[in-house]
Amino acid sequence: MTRSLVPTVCPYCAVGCGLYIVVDDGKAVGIEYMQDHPASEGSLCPKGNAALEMLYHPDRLTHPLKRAGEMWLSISWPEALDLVAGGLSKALREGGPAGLGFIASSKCTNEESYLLQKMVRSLGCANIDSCARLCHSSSVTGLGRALGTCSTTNILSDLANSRCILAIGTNFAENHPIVARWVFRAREAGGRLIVADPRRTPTAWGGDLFLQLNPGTDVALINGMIKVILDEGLINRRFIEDRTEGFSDLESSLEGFSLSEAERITGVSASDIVGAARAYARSPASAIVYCMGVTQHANGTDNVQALANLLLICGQIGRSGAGIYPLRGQNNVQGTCDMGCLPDFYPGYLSFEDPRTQEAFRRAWGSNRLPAKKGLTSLEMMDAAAANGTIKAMYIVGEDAANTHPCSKRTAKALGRLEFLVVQDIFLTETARFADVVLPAACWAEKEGSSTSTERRIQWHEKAVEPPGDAMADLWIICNLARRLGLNFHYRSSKEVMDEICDLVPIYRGAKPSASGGVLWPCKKEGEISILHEETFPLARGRAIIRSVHFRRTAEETSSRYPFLLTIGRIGAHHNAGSMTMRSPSLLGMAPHRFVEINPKDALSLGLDDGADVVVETARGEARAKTRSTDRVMPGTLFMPFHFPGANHLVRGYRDEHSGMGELKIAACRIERC
Amino acid sequence: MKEIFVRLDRCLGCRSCEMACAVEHSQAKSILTAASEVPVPRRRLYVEYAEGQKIPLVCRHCEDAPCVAVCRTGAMRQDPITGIVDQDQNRCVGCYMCAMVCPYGVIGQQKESRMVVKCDRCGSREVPACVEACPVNTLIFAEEADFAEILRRDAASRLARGYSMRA
Amino acid sequence: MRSIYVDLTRCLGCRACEVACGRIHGKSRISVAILRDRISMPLACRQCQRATCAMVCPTEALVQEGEGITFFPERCNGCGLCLLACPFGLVNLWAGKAERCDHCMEKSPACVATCPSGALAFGEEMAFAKAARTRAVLRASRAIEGVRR
Repeated sequence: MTRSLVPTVCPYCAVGCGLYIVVDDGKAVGIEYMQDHPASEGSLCPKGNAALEMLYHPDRLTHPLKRAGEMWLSISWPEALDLVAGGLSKALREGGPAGLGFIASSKCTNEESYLLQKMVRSLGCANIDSCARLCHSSSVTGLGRALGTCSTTNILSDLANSRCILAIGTNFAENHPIVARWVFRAREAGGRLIVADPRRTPTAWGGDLFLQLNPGTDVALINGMIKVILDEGLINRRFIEDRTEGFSDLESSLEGFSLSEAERITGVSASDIVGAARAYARSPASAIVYCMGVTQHANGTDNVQALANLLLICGQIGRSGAGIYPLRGQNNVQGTCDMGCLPDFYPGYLSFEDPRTQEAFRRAWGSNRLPAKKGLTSLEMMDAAAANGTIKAMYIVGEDAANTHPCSKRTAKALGRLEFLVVQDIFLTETARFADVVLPAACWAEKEGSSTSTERRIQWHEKAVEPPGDAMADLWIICNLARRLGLNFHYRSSKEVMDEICDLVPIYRGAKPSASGGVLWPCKKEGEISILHEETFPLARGRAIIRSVHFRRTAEETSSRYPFLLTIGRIGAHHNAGSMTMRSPSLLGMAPHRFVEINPKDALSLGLDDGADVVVETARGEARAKTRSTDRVMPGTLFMPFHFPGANHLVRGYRDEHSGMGELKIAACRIERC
Repeated sequence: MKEIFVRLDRCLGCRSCEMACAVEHSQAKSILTAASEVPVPRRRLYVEYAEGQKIPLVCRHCEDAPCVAVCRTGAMRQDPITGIVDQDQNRCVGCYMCAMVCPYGVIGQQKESRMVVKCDRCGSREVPACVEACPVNTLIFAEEADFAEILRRDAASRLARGYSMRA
Repeated sequence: MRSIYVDLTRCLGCRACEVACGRIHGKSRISVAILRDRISMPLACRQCQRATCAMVCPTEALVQEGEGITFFPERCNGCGLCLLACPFGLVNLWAGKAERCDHCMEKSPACVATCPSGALAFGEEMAFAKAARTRAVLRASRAIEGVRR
């Protein structure tokens, strides 16, 4: 009997909990907890505990597939790769590199994401993006411009050292439960938790102060807090003078803004805004934790900049317990972004515009074809495919865009119009159904490689079991495809790719990611840097940028036809578009069908019982659900999880001009019994 | 109704109250033999330290006490007139639900068997044992109005001292 | 003797404990109740010292031994009286036999190891009570900070 424990990282969210897969005679039979893991100390949330359930699901793709009318034909790898290379080459000939579009997967390893963008750019194409567009692209622009970095500034366990934690637009209790571990340690030591969310989530249960703001009014709330801090002289003048720019601009921009205005817009009482502001500014170490409630708006960049302004005027950054935590969604979205799967950044967030970046990669990759300008975002690619057909062919890895994009019916239309579509995934998702060729990929437990968690922890995981049937690791697929496209991709292992990454990508330089606990970036010889910005901000003058932002309403307005505001978000049982969790019996059992939360007062006036079958309709479409009567939501607001396909059809495509993020959070709707 | 109040700024952390409580709830009521009894008599109040502060935490005999509400067997009961919450040890099954819902964490366990122990206001005494034992009058057994009077006198003398130092 | 304790201020209602227990035992023996959308509490067999489940068992499969309860699966005929008798509703019937939490065979309960927020603890001491007291003292201490100066 050969039984071994293989160290790996949970494939779901970006906390990056370590665990051991128990492998018995080549089969994954159980899980053991990794008690010395620095972020999770051995714990796993329900998704982590259920992580193995999707591995052997009968729906796993096992062979390359070719579309033949309405049917799929099982084909061999050589034929599949030839078809893909042929289709992409044809599109290249006819439309040039601008005619191709690529979406990378946040579930692939760093090595795979790095190779994908290397391949794309070596073909002269700039159109590569990832799901980050839909989640933290507002952080990349917002924090990137304000602080010069766009990741958590401190590590998760450091939250235990905070004396005041502002959790805004995050329901970490359900979706990043391990964060609660550290937040509660801070609370045990006398720290205070302030929770700001339109919904009274389990995260709010643990808060000392709950600010139930109207959906989409974050800038007004934060500006209200900043106004209090300015008026009461609670700013950190020394920090502002030594380490920031733009403060006087902020001061004058808020002269006309009053606390009662903030109260009116947000619906949060002035006394609560004052309480929150004082607690945050006065505490010796305050941290901000935020997630989709802040970013997934058409003013997402403004929301993030407002948070940056708050922490900068109070000097709450650059030391233990003080910082900002954008909680990433997927296990390797941080890594995939670090590896440059963004249309406007090279690996390591090196700017496209900088000629030195171009030169460095031209030399390193030995290619003269690297694109000169930045490319399209994933949403823009779909626009281009749908509208004027400039994008002729797309290659999508591990993303169910037909379900995850805002206004997703438009995306479905775009996918249908493509001349050639390749989808590389582990299940036949709705997106894959539009493909000409489907490539079966190995999943997380079936390949080795590294992934980077939200706290910048690069962790290596070993291959635990073989993939089913003919499914192959994305690394193998990309290398074989690249070679057919004339590129010199001869990597024998993930480790070889990691060596190249560590050479080329500044923030990964010197990283030797290990299997238990990993290593933080940026790595320095002296040791890990767990706290960023202790001395400087990597911007032009080494100073952080305070930039005034004004509240502007980007959420759809309600009307007599659509009198409710629908907010869309995550629940703990499921993950993103549900392709993995809906195939995990324990998780599906916790949340088997789509529901819509409605305040009991609204339910009463509409004559809806708990569990009634209803239709939620917006200007874009409709979705059926069962009601859940609860005072988690305010009267006039509804909540629906986005994991059940069809929710994102309902939101409109209105976008943030800086980050390209869609207004995924809020839509005006009506609700009616079926 | 007299309550046990705490003058929060006086506690020395000497734990005489804890000792007295345990001895009062022993068989022999003697400090000399208490420690060797079985079961070991346990304190029902707790002197806690946090951020340099020492405070004795005594059961508040809450109105609508959560420990009473959660008890499945009727072991935890509240006198409707005095409001005192005490415990019928014969009924307790040691499920510890009361301990888990107590917001002050002042319900403890008797280790030798599955049973909880909790302040009973020293029913048979005039003045609870902890109050009598306190050497610096941190614990006061008084009516609320009388206790408030003590606090006002304290505040007034501080003010007066401060004022006279100005002059 | 050891118990599984819950710190009610920490339970998130995430149900990781249920999934972990179900992963190991087929059907979860710990059950999370969420009340009025304000508080949640996981409950597993309370190991009562006058256990009604043992009192009603007709085959002496569930027996009160010392301060604990011992289960002899070979004696169990799946009648389900224990399920009816348990005041907390924490007995399952699985594959024709009764099942209740046995602290993962008195070793290292999976629910405790997996709990993301540290709400569950296993052992002799009631650490949650100490935490509650500390919180109360911190609140009081913050309140009187001004008074002292």
